[in-house]
Amino acid sequence: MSPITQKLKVMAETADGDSIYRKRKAITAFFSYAAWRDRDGQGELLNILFRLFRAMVAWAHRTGTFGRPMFMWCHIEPLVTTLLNEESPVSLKQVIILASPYLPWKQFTNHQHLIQLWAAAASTVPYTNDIGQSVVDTLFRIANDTSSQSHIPVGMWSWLNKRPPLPPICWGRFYGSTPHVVRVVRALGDIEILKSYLLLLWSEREETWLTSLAALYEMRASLREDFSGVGIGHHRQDLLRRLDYVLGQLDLRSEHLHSTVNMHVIRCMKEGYGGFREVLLDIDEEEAVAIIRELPRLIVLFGSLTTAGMHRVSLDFYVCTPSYMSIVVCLDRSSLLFLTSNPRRRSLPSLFVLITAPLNFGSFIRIHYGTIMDHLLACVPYYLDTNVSWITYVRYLSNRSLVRPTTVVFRKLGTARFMIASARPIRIVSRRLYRVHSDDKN
Amino acid sequence: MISLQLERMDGDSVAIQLNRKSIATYFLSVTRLETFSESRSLRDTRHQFLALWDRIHLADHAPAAIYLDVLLSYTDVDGDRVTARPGSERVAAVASICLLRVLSSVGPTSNVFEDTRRRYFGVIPRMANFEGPLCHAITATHALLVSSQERRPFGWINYKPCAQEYASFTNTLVQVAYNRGQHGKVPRWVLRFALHSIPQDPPISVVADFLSIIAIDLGCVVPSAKSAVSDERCVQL
Repeated sequence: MSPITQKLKVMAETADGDSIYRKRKAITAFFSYAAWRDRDGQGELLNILFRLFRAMVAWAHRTGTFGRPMFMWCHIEPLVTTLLNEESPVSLKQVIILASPYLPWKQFTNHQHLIQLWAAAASTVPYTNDIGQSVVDTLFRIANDTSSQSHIPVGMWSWLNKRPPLPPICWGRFYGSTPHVVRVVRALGDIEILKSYLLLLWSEREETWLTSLAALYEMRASLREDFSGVGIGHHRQDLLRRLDYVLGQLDLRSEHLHSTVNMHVIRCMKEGYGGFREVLLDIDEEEAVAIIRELPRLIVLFGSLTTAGMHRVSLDFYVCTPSYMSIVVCLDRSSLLFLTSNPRRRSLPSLFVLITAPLNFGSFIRIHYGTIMDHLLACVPYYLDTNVSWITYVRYLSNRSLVRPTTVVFRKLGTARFMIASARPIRIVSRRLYRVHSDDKN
Repeated sequence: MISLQLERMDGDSVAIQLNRKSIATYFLSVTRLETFSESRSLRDTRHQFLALWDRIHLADHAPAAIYLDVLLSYTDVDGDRVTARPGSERVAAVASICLLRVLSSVGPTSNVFEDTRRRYFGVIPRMANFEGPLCHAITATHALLVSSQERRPFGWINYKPCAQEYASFTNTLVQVAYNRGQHGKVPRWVLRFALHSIPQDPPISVVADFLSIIAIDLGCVVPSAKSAVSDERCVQL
């Protein structure tokens, strides 16, 4: 082992951020050399350097000096460009992807182009947990900068769905939890990505806790607005599990902490995460109550819409638990109506059946049970294989002039009109039904 | 007294003995000859001189005043704008590197350093803006003589030396780093040069020089920069 490697190793082991900071120019210069020497990304030199980078970033955050120029990356921008370039070997791309959380993206003169190169390079590197960590960490950092976030290719956000195990202290969490990053992720309109984002962000470590109230409000708003709805109860369950874990860890940590400052932060974190938990539990409760209240009305309403035979509707309905993923109403022994269900599973083909039975709704619900099931079973694999989301499907219908662009008119039969909109069909359907029902009463 | 083996223009080699004074004379002769003629043989002579200088550190045996004289006589000053005299850029660059090397080996409080500073700033303004090709060597000398607060910032983006000059320059910077490292810190601009140059895929001997600079800055035990050669460096390649 060369004296340089030995020296760096000692610095990494002691993790003395101040010493590392004072030697940042030499360390960054050495990275240029190490990147070429350990081009498989697994060499000892690079591992030591990454530990140094982490130690110094942690130190800078701890001492409130992260506004200072951390490393001298701007001087090696050509190297970064070369490593990220399309023609660069995968091994070198891997090195720079691993180093990417430490790069000052917005300080690069051509950062927009570099972000595009980074995104392209990430997709060519074989996935490992380390790579996933680095990409997610970097994604949060870039998104935190308002001038850079618009240059992130939309596809990069799907990396969140890989949910790499982030290290306990991952500063990407800190950068990623600002209100505007929450808004960017919400604007994607993908519930899976949004859930993964929150699962990755929520941590029991006080170092990466964002104290911004605006961020807390934005997350609460997201939980309230994006995670309400019967069909996405399983997402809420996942979030609740994570919150329970984080809150449990916070309890454990608070038992072993003696610092008053840290105790205060942990108290704030408990309040914040506890607030998120309450929101989710409230939504669950509201949805359950709404469904239970609505179901008899639904049955009556459907009965009023159809032929006389439907007045003798059996109340043998059931709700698929947990979290009301499917609601199936059995009208009688030979007739069955899928009102709503999980948009990603049976709901889609069941709604498909409803929508594409335009001629005679009454005749539809009297189709033999087995016929409907055959039809559904035929549809389900198709939709799952092609991964058609609910919104896509609504767009498909819109294009075929069956529906208006923003509102899907289910079927106009008699005095009632079923309408759904956006990606939360179940809740809106039930509300509309309620209104229709009220109108009828009036 | 130093023995040199020089190649003559007709291809034969000749051994000459140089003392401190004759080295200076030889340097002046070479630089002035090149000023008057750009013939290939004279350029080769200068390269030969540089190569020898690099190997046996001729510069260390000549007084700084000689190189300063050459440097000042081949530069034009117009306000803050400083340029090498057209046609003499290489001579000025060589003189700068030699001066840099001599100055790096003496302490910043020594008489030689102080005398050089006084004479240098009698001609060159502190906030000088060096322009033109090969100005980086002069800029480096300037950076050694004046603190970063008193001079304009400069970068290495446009520094594209020939291989010979590159090797000489980086080797000189190792000496600057070594000597300054002994007295305190390696100058920032030296490390920035390493930062800028390593990604450019330089020759292996130059990489070794940069690694020496890094090692010195990190506080590794490095043998004397004068005795360090590529296969005996403190770094493993």
